[in-house]
Amino acid sequence: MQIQLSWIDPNTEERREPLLETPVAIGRVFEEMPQQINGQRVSRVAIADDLIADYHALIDWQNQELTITEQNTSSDIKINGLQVTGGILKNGDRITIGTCEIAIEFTATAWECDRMIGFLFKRRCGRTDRIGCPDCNQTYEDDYAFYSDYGNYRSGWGRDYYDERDRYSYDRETGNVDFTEADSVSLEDERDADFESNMGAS
Amino acid sequence: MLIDLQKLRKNQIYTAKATVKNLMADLQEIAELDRLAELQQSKHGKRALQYFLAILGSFVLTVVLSVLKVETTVLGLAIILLVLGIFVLTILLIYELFKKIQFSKLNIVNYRYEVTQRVVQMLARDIDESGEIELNLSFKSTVSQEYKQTIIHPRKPQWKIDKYQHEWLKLEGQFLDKSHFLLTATELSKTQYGWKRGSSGKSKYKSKTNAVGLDVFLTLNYPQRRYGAVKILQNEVSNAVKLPNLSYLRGLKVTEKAMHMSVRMAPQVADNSGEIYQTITMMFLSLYQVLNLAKILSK
Ligand SMILES: [Zn+2]
Repeated sequence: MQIQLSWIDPNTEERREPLLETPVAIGRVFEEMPQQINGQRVSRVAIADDLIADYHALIDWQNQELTITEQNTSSDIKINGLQVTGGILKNGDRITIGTCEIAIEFTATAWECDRMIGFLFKRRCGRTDRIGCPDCNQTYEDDYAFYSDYGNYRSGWGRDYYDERDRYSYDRETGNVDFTEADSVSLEDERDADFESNMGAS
Repeated sequence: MLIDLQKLRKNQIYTAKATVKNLMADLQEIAELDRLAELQQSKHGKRALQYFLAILGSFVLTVVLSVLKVETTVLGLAIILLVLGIFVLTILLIYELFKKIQFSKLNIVNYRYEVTQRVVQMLARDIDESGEIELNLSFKSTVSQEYKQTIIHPRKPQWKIDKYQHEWLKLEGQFLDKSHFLLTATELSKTQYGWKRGSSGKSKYKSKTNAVGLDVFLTLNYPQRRYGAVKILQNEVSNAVKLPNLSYLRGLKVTEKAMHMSVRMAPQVADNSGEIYQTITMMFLSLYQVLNLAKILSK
């Protein structure tokens, strides 16, 4: 399950908004935080701030609730301004670690994205978190823009083949592709006939 | 799959065979480590500059005090303290520079992991969640001994050319429709060198290095049952190809089972993550465009 954290980096003063897979470890030293907990990969967030412990806190799901726990007796954690050693986090809560105030966003409802994705193989997106989806939508559109008319055979490349698509038959056994000439001749006759009758009518 | 940091730092190569999700997490971690290294590097660089300015200031002050005609014990003491200060500051300066160099070694080239992150994300749309991707990502410099091949200059006698070919990206996997892809990016550079006789008759040693560009290769092995009609499109496949302005098609081969595509990117965009990503995406979309039409005709 993904959660979104956002804070202002105390050193560079730029806003950071990573979208992270839980569990999430927060601390000052990257290497001091665990890579894995109970076989689950940990997303590690390192913030260079003297008031933050090497491995300060861990955010994870427990009994369907997002929790935060301190990892060091000297670590200070505040949830919405209140001093705690740990607790349950709700969507929109703000935690304070060191001098950093970190806003947390997530959605716990069972919801699935029904957008069709895939360039080669169309299928339902099916993502279960709302936060992840806008991201996939946006870059998806951008990538399509690189190839104008992508997927359109009516006017672009391959138009002739597409127009006559019904006349091709592919034999899965032999791998041969046949083009039914007889049909094409009869269709041509039809067109000529239409043209002649139109001429006659006018 | 978890990153072995020590190994990554030592070999400058990241290799993995993992699901998209784990691969993305690893790449995110590499990006984070790189960001931290950049931060540390600039911090130590700033401090080194401050110490340098302090040394310069102290030095000027020492000279000024020395040329003053008045001689008092206080003045003499001040000069001794200043000299001592310069000594200490120099040690600190050396330390900060040392730290800066240490972190600069951890500071890897950004464009390579940035491109890889975006390409994996793009390909993920057509890959099964449990499907594994094989990735080889090198952060080494192209101009290094191991990628070098020396040849004799074709026109200038006594001259040689060092050719560098570094395949820094290799990405392999399977799409949901059972098509298999193999993508590589190879950076090219060459150095020509030799002796040149000037108008005065004296011989001079000359050397010239040119970045040649980036070669991107893509192979798509497609299942015949689904896309068998590709062969009737064979002669027109190249017309379906669209590429950015500074990239051009060098080769395109279509066989019963696979399509091979080779694109050269100009040297001025060979390390531009946006341009590389666009080229790679357009290569995939071009071949997808062919496959999708083949599927319609293969019914
Ligand atoms: Zn979605």
